[in-house]
Amino acid sequence: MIIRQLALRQGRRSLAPQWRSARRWMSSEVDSISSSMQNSLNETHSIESMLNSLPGERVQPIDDETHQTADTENIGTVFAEFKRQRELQKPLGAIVTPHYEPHTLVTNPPRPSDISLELLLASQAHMGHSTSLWNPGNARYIFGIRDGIHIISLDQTAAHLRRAARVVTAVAERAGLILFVGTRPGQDRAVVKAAELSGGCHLFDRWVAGGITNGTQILGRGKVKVVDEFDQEVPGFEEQLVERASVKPDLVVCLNPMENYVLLHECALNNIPTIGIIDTNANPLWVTYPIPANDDSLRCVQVICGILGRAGEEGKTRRLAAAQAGNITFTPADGFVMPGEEKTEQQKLPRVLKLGASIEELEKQDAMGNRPLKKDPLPRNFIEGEVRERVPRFHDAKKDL
Amino acid sequence: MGVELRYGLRRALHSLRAPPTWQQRSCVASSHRTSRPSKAFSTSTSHRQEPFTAAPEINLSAENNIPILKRIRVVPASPSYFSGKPAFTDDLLALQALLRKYQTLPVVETGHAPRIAWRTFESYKSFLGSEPIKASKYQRLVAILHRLNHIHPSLMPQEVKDAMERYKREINPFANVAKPKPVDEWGRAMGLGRRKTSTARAWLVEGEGEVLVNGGSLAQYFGRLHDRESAVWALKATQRLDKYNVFALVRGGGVTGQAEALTLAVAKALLIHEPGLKPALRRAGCITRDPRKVERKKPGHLKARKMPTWVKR
Amino acid sequence: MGRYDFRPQRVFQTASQLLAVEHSARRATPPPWFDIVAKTPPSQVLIRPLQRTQPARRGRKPSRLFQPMPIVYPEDKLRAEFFGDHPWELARPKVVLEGDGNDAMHWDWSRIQQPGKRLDGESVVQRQFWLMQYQGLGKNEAYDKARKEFYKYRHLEDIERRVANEEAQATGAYFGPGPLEYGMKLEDRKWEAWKKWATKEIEQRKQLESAVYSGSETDEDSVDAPADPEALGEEPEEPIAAV
Repeated sequence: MIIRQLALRQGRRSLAPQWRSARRWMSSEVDSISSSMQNSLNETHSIESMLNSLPGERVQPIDDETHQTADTENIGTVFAEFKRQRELQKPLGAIVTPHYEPHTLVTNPPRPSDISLELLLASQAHMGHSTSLWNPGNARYIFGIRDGIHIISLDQTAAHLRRAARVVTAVAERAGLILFVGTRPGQDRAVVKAAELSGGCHLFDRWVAGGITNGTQILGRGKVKVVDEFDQEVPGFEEQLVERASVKPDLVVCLNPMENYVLLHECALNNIPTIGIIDTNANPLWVTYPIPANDDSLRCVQVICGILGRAGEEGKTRRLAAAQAGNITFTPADGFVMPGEEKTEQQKLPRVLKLGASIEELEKQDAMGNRPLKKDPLPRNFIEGEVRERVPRFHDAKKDL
Repeated sequence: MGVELRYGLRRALHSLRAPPTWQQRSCVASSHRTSRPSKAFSTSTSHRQEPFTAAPEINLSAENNIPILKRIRVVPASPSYFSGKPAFTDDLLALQALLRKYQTLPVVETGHAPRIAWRTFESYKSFLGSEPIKASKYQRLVAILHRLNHIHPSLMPQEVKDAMERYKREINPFANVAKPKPVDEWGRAMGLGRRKTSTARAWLVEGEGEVLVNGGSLAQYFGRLHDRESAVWALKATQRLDKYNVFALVRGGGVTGQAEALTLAVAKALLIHEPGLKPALRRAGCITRDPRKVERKKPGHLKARKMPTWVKR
Repeated sequence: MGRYDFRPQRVFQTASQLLAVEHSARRATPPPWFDIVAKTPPSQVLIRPLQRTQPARRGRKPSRLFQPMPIVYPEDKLRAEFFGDHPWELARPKVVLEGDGNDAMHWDWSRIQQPGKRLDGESVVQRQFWLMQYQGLGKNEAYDKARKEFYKYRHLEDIERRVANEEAQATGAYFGPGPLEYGMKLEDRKWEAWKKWATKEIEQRKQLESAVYSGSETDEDSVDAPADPEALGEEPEEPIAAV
C-alpha cells in the first residue's frame, strides 16, 4: 500500500461527495471489491496526475562540483529530527516477550553458563543430515530418526559443549593461542568476535594448506611480537624474533570440519588438540573434542562459537587477574636472551624433538653441543621410571574422573 | 669405573638442579578444577598421568622481581595471522565494522558522490608489502569504500574520512580538469592542432565563411580538393561553414599534414564557441589527435623495417 | 596410519611421550593445554550403543541392532489425517523459527487460538490432542470439534481481512496486481508471442508447400540474397564547393 501525501488525500476526501463515503461504510459485500478496487485505481491515477502537475521537484538536483543539494545543510537537521522521533517512538507499541534477535548472537554471545537444551533446540542444533548420509561413528550422539533425518541428542551436545568450553577456558588461562576457524559464508562475524573475546586468532577465508606443517614458508611474512603477562608489547626482541619459527596455535576450534580436513590433519600431525562441530555426516575422529551439533545452521554455529569465545574470555580474564596479583599462569617463551646479550651454546641447540626421537639422537645432539659423551645410554623405561619416582603425582586421572 | 662415577654424579646434580616448578606445579590447576566430568566421558583408554604441568606457578609479591625473560611470550601481531594475509584481512574487517556503524546515515544518489580514485590493485599490494591478495578480494574492499563514499557529505563522520584517506591515490586524477579557454574580447577563439610534423593555429570568429590560411585563401594554399575539404571539415560536418571566419597559421610538414592539423585546430576553436558540438565532432573524427608519425630508420634495416635482400654467400 | 586415525584423540599421550624424551635432555616445556587435556580427556569415540532388542526368531540373525530408531509421537497420526483431508493447508506459509526454545510451553490448548501463533493445521492437531487427553473425547469426536472451531475462526479471519482491505481502499490505499492478475499478464504475453511465431511459421510452410506443388522458384532466394547494394554502399561523394 502506498500512502500519498496526507494533505492531498484529505483534501480530496473532503471535496468528495459525502454520499459516496457513506455508501462505502455500509458496503461489505464481496462482489463489490473488484469494482471498488477499480474506483480506487482511478482515484489514484487522478492523484498522480495532480501530483505531477504540482510545481516543484521531488528530487533535489545535486551540484556535481560541490556535491551539495539546495538543502544540504538541512539534511543534518532532518536526520537529527528523524533520530529523535525514532527514540521517542521506540517505547510505543507492544513489547514482545524475549524473542530471537539474530544480531545479538554476535554482539553479545551467550556464556557457557547459558547452555541449556532450550537454547540448543531453538538454534536447531538437533537437526542432523539425511539418514543415508550418516557416519556410523556418530551413533552415540544420535537420538533417533525423524522425517528421514537423524536427530542429534541435545544432552550430548550440551555436555560436549560444556567440556569444550572448559578446555578453551583453561587454555586461554594458560595463554595458549586459540584459533577459531569458520570458513563457510556467514560465519565470519561469529569467528572474529570469538577471537576478539578470547584474545585468539580467527580464520574465515580459507586455510592455506601448510600453515602449520610448513609455517615458515606460508606464514613467515606475518608479523609476531613479544608480549608480557599484561599482553603489552615488549620492545627489544625484534632481532631474535626473526630467526624463530612461525607461531602455531595451541588449540583449534573448527566450526566446519567437513571443509577443513587439511587443517585438522595438520593439527593431528603437530599434536595440536582440536574442537569441532560434528554433524551426523562428519567423521568424529578428525577432532579431539567433537561437539555433536548441526553445522549447517548459522544460528547454531553462532551459539556454539559465541559460547566458546566467552569461555576464552573467562580464561583470559583469569589470566590477567592473576598477572595483576603477580602470578604468571603460563610458561614463558624460551630461547630468548636479554637484548644485547649473546646466546649460550645450550640455547643454540634445536629445542623440539620429533615424536619417535630416541635417546641416541639426543646423544648425538649433545655431542654436537660439545657436551661430554655418555658411554652408557640409559634405556627409556629407566628414565621414565626415574621421572615418575622423583615427581609426586598431582594429577591422578583415576582420582579425578 | 671412572665414567660411571662421573655419570652418577651428574645425575645427582641434575636432580638437585631440577626446576622448582615440579614441586609446586599443581597449585593453580587444582584450584581451578571446576567439576567432576560425568561418567559419559570416561575414556576408553586409561591415561597414565605424566608428571608435567603447563603452568608453573611463579608467585612473587612484587612483579618487578620477576625477570622479564620469565614473563614473555610470542604472539602474532594480528589476529588474522593464520589467514596468510593479515594486513589485508585487518583492513577488510576494519572497513566492514565502519560500514556497519554508519550504515544508517543518509546517502547521496548513486553516481553523485564525489569522484575518488582509489588505489589501484598493484599500488595497494605494494603498499601492504607482498601479501598474496587477489584482485577480486581487493574489489570487495573497494566496494565497501564506494559505499562509504556515498554517505551524504554534510553528515560524513571524520572517522570515515580518515579511513578513506588510506585508500586514496596520492594524486587524484579527477581533480585535474582542463582549464576552460575563453573567447577573447574580439570574439576570437584559438585552437591548436598537430598532425605528423605540422602545427596549425586557427582563430575562429563569427562571420560569413571566409578562410585565410597563412595569408592566402584556402584554394590558393591547398591545391588538392581533398585537403581543402579536410582543413574545414569540422565546420562542414556541423554545417557551420557559412557562420564562422577562419584565420589560420600553419607551420611545418607537408600539405596533408598541414591540412589535417588544421582540422584539429578548427575543431578545437569551434568547441570553445559551441561546447555542445563535441559529440557531433567526435563522430566526425575531428577531436582525436592522430598520433601516427614517420617511424624512425633502424640500423641494419634499409628503412624503418625493410631488410636488405638476403644473398646466399 | 591405517583406516582410523586416532592421533587427534591421542594428543595427550603423544605429548607425554615427547616430554619424557625431552625431559631426559632437560628441555621439557609442556604445551599450555597439557594438564587440562589430562583432566578432561576426550570422550569415547566409535561407540555403538545398542538401540533395540529383537526377539530371537528361529533361523534369523538379529539385524539393525545399532541403527537409530525412528521417533514417533501420538500426534503424528492426527496430523497425517488432518493434512490428508486439508492438503491445501500445507501450502500456507509457516513459521519455523523458534524464539527461546520454550515456545510450545506458552500455548494453552484449552482454546484453539493462541496469542503469538497463527491459526493453522497444527492448531487443529494440538487442540484435538488436548481434547482427547483432557476431555476424554474420542478421536473422531475431538477431530470434528477442533475442525469446526478451526473453520469458524478461519472464516472470521477472512472477514477481517476483507474488511481491512475495504477500509484501506476507502482511505486511499491501492494495491498492485494480485497474483492472479500477474499470472494472467504473464500468460497473455506468452500467448501473444506464440501467436506471432505461429503466424510466421504457417506463412513459411505455405510458401514451401506452394513451391513444392507448382515447381516454380520461390521467392526465398530474394529473402536470402544480400540487401540492396545501393543501400550498403557508401554515399556518393558530394561535389565540393570551391571555397
